[in-house]
Amino acid sequence: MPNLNNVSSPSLWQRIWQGFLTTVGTKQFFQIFSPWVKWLAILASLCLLIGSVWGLAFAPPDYLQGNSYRIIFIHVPAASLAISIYFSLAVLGVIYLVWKIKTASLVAQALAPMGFLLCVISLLTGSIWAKPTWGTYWVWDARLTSMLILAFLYAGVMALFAAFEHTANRGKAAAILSIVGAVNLPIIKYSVEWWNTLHQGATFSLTEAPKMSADMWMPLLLMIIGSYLLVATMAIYRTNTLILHRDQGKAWVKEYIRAQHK
Amino acid sequence: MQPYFYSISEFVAMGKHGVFVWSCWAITIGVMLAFIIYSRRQRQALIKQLTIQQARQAQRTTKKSTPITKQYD
Repeated sequence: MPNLNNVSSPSLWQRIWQGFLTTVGTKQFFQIFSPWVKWLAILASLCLLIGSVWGLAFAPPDYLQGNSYRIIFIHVPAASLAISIYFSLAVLGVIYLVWKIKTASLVAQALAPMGFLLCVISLLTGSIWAKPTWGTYWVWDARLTSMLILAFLYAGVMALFAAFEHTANRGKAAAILSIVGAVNLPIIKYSVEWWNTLHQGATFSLTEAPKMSADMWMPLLLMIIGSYLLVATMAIYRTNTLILHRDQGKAWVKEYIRAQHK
Repeated sequence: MQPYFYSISEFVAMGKHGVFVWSCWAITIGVMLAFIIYSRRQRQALIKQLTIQQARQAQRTTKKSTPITKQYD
């Protein structure tokens, strides 16, 4: 005999789920994360400043590449973030399409231009680095080509966000492209192993000790942490702008706008 | 900890690789700063626009609800 009490009172899981859905509402997102922006920004700038000075002035040069390797302190964080942000766009796309959580779509919309810019920066710094190291700015090799495709995917996602901005289906097309385009991510990741390539393998991995000296990988780690923090800061700030725009008719936004001028 | 370079000119030159290293830094800092400023302007413009909208709405409602009457001091 099934327990009939379950029918009237929601189970613990249902209550937790409902609680989760309300906390990820736009208003809650705005109120919870707004105060984080300042502190994350300070932490990010500290990491990036220390990492830059350490990497540029204090780290020893590479025995083969000389000082040109110092580009790694920009190139690797930018490339790593370009890939991570696209992955998060795909995850947010699934969350938006399956559970219809608006905030997920707004976070994705806020993140997409950031990912695009970081992807372009990683391509530019990579090709500038390639000149003294490989003797050419560009080769059509697997890693570089798949990274270029990622930049185009970002541009597509941004265009779809802009195109459906004023329709009932806003964010859906962009979410679908984000999910489909995620096929490219493992191709980028394993391109250096599957094909013969000029590009070197991963510098960091979670399972092995770094192959560089501590004076080189510590500033790199600082730069990576700093840029993740910077992206988090920008993501919150830009999402909150989108939330204010979308919820401008709501009472809490009106109150917030009024409070801005006191 | 010791800085690797002995002089400022050595630091700028980076042993023939100065152009490559510094152009990367310049591009990245320029793009990121521009994006941060753009995002900030976007927010400020939105707040300004919503403030004006609110002021207009407030004016309209007060005009409707309280018809102009003679002022006595």
